[in-house]
Amino acid sequence: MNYLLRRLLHVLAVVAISTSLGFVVLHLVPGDPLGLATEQAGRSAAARAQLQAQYGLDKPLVQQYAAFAKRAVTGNWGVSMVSGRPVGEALREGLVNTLKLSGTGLLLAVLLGVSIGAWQGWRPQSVIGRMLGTVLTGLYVIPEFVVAITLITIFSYHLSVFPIGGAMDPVLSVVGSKSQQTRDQLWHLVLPAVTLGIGWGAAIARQQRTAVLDTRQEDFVRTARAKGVSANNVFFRHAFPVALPPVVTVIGLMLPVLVGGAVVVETVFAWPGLGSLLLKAIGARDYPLVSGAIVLTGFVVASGSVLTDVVLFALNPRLRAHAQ
Amino acid sequence: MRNNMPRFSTIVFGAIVLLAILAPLVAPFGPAQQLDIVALKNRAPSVTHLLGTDAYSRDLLSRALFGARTSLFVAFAATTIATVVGTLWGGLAATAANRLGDGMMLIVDVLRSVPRMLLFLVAVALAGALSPVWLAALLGISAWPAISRMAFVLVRDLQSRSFVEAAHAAGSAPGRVFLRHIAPHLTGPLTAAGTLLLADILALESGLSFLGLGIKPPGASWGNMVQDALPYLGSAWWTAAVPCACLLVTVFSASALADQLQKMTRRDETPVPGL
Repeated sequence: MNYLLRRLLHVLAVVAISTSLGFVVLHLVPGDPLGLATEQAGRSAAARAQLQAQYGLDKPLVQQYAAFAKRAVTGNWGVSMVSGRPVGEALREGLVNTLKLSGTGLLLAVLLGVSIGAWQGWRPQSVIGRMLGTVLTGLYVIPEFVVAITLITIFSYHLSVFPIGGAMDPVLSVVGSKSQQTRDQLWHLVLPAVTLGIGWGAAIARQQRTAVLDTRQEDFVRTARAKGVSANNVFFRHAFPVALPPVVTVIGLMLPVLVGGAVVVETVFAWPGLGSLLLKAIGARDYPLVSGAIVLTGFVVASGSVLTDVVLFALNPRLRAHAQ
Repeated sequence: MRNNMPRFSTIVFGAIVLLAILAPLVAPFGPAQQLDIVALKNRAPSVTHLLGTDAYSRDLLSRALFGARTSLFVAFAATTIATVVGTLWGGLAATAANRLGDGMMLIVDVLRSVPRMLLFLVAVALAGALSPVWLAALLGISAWPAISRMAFVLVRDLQSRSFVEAAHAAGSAPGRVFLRHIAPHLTGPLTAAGTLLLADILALESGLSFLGLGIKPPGASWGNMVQDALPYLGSAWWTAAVPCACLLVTVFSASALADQLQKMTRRDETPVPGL
């Protein structure tokens, strides 16, 4: 129970910190958050006072925080200062796109990372495995935008195989048939998802390799082999399941990075996700949108870490016994 | 082929650091000097401009050299901050009473799960633009929890070793035990971790500058050079390739160096066979 309590505390703290960050942005910005919005529109002092009242900026800080917390819970962020569009609506759209991209990227990463890493760990003498290891280390350390730009330069600009950016074709999304649209959207997903999958996959592979290398030397693996279980069965039934939890932990630790990494990749590929939305909002000093996006990101990361815990629990019987 | 990787990566990384330090002497032009916006826009590499010119007619070689200066300064400063703060916090937590120490580490774990990118976005939203010094401070602050977790585990592990117990039993003061018996065992692993962190921060800084959140133009950083090159990938790909290649070589050699350091410290730890 102690373990679960700690984890719960952890998740709550993440939510609290990200909410406070969002509040700081919205209310403690040096100068006046309405400065840019009013100056640009050339509004009068009366209009300014009205805007201040509209965003609740004329009330004491404690009241502002209470109002902020209420909005954070209900998800009612008001309207964007720049586009006048409801913030909740913009965030929902961004989140759906980000989940689409990150989900596909993560799926690719897990498939690639787990299989390559497990193979490297199980057959440590293999020459191909070692060469792959060097390549993976390289892919693990280089910044994501370098991979993204290399892919885009080769496949979009010079070979014209994949689109340069965006989530869908502007023409097809209006006039195309349902199947054409689906194919078009998948086509737009390929390069950004591969970029994410390569970087994250390399990180997972490293962890998986170490985990399999470790379990490979365990007594129960030798015993299984000695009692006549085939090599494949030893791997899939005895070694692999034991080597999985540390990898799940790493994937869980990657979640915050995953959101950060997606900002970069979304920007390069002009993907209309949460990251590029946040970046644009910061450029335009659109504070309601910025703090909404920050709080939402915190929630996504926290729920991701809850999910990781659930998976770890399901995979590891020792953890269950420990918690009871 | 014997393993020449460590020597090779040390030489490459050392050369890059040297070039960065000597940038004002080596660079043929100024980093922000717009030479001829009409005749020298996006020129392919030539004899006068060894790596070509960018969209603002600036010499790419000079820009890459000065970019190395900024990027490496930020990375070194941030790594130093993170390593010092992280080691102190982790070391203190390990030597503190159990409950207090655990509390200190809980803070670390929570900080580790806040998305780094959010921290930067908030800072930029608050401050507008960051100077290299502030950028380094911020990167250092974002990275210290990872180092501190490592220092904590290392110190806790060392405390249970028999030579530390022996030192305590012999009547050494706790401070002396820490400085003479525990600290020397920390330098190796922490240097390795620091070098890996350097590579990591280099990549992170370039990512931030690429997004327009780090080093602001006209100041040169490999990241913002790529940002400048983004609209011309189809016509002048070398303007992106130059900073990308610089990043690739630097980050890769730094991480190879870190790998090597890690292996060396691990050999220290294993007992000599036959003893």
